[in-house]
Amino acid sequence: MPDHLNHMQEQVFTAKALYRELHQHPPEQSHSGKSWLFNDLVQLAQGNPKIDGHQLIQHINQSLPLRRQYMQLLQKLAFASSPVQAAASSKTEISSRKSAEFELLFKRDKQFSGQVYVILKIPHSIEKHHNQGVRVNCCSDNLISTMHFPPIVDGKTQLLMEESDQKFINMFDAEFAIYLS
Amino acid sequence: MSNIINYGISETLKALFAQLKETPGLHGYKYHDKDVEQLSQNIVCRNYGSVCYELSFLCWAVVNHPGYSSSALLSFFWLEENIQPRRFRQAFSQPIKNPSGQIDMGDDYLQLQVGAIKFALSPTRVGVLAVMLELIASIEPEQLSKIEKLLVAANVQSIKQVSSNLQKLIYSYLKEHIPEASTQERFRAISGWLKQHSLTAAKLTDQDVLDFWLHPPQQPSYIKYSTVLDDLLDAITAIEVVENTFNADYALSLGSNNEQGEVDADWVQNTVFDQADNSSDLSWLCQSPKFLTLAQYQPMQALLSHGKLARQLPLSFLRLNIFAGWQSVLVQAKRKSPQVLADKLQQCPNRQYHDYVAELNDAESQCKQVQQVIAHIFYSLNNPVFVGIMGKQMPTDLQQTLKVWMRAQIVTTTESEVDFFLNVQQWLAQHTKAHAWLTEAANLFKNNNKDGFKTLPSVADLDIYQDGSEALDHCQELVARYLLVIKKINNQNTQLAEIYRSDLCIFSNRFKQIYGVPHA
Repeated sequence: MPDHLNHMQEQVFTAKALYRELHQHPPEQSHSGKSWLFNDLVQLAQGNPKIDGHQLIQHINQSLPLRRQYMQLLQKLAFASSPVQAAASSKTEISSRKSAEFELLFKRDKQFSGQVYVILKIPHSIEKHHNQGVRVNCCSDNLISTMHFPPIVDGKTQLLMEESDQKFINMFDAEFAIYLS
Repeated sequence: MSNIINYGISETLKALFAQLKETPGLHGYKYHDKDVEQLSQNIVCRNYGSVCYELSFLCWAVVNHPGYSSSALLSFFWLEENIQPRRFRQAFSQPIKNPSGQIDMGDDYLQLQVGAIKFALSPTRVGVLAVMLELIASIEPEQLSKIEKLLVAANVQSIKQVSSNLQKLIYSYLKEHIPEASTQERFRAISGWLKQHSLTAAKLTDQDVLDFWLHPPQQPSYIKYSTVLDDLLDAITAIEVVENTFNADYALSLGSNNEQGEVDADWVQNTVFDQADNSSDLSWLCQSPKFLTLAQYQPMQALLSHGKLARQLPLSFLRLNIFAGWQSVLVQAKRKSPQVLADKLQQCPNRQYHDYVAELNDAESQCKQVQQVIAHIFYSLNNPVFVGIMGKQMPTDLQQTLKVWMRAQIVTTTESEVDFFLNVQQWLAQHTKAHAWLTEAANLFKNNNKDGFKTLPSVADLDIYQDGSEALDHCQELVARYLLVIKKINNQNTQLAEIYRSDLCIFSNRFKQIYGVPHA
């Protein structure tokens, strides 16, 4: 048989086999086996609750280009932000974060030590905050953490957290900028 | 011995395509399965040049749209998701004229004029092009701003430059994620085996398939029954289609056009997907609108994938359905512990051949019911497409009467669609059985609460229902013909059970050989 015919048969087989493989053997959706798309970053930056923020942010934190990309998206798409606060003292922990659009503060639980209520007030919230809640992103040069708050009711929402939770610590660390979606 | 043969596609690329189907959008999933699959056909055939070219024109139109002054691509494709035909038409509803060209939404196409060049973009293509842009942005996010910079107030040369850049990007990505050497090795092993046994597509029998699995070639390692069946049938159809389509002279002339002997990618895609009645994945039927559930679709999947060969090799597909499933269980069990594996080897599969046949019967009747529901949708929206669906689904005697009437209509009248629809209604009024069929269709629609069937869709969204009807028609016919072959084999209702018992013995022994009998 001429080589060309053979080569064409090989090409047809390859196309069929690759197509089958691409669609009929989906990889297990484990953390390591999952691929993320640009759209997933956009959805997370917009606060879409259907995105698994925990997994995606872990992935973003592993890659500097992705972190930069996500920061750029937050800067474009966030509803409100509070920048890194100039280090007035060596102590970077602060008790509240304020901007024209929101206020973020916490109260310690009197009954259970180590637990804190993080309260987010948005006086002029938008529709999606009432339907799907609010995503709070805390961003430093080296790390991004993200939390999803329940829907806003009467201008505020709250989340019960452990005081030792790194996400809580980042939220009230002056070296982290805050972006709300 | 390695128990999994070396596949050609990286896990990353597979996961990327899986995620393209699952990534969320404004409403549900962002991309339609059909568009993702269409693009994957371009990718596996390495036939993405024309897609990049079309996409570059689309990006030019978006970047030069006065409504999107900054981050135009992000706004258009991600924030507003103007990727369905209706939203796309709306986004370009106003004509645009600027120094670099003109953009006009016509009845069927978005007409672009860039310098002296005219280019038409169909709103129904935008979904596929959006998937391509997502792939590009996911491989290299900086591409979006690069494309925007190159295309603002740009001429055709810049559009071609963008297209060329995108092609290079995809080329180098695929080089890393789809090495072709392993698929070539598989093809060579199978074609060698077929030659050795003097087998062609027409001569291949169920026994040959079983023999191949029981005594595979040395390299590459073939262990999984499902891989054996898929590769064997893919190879034999590839050989057949090339031999049937081309004579040696034409093939030689194709080769002589290119020193490297490259095969025209467009021809490959056309041969494998567009002309073939198999190979197509219709799993989009389970998306939105949800024509079928996954459980209804899955029993048909392998038959759809191999088309007429399923009828030629009926037992191979029964074996695939029951014993390949058992093999997957064993592979999982082997990963857990030798004891779990030993337990699973002792247990028989929990389904037998007649269970699979019953599932196919259910799937077939489900296809019929959904067709009836679709006919109701078209009827309710005064769309004559329902006549075509009804014509295929009604009892045979009524089908004949309808055909005779239709022929008379074509000969005697040249009326409008509206008049035709009124005439059909009159015909329905005279035929109580047909009327009853439509009444039943209305009830089925009322009881169908699946996505896309809860309320009547808008007229603008009817295309996908028509596509669904055609795909269901294909499924229904394929399953019916396969079941007919099975019926002949099982004419006394006992043969399937006997074949199953004998196969159980064969598969059980082979699995023990492959996976070992722990503590034996």
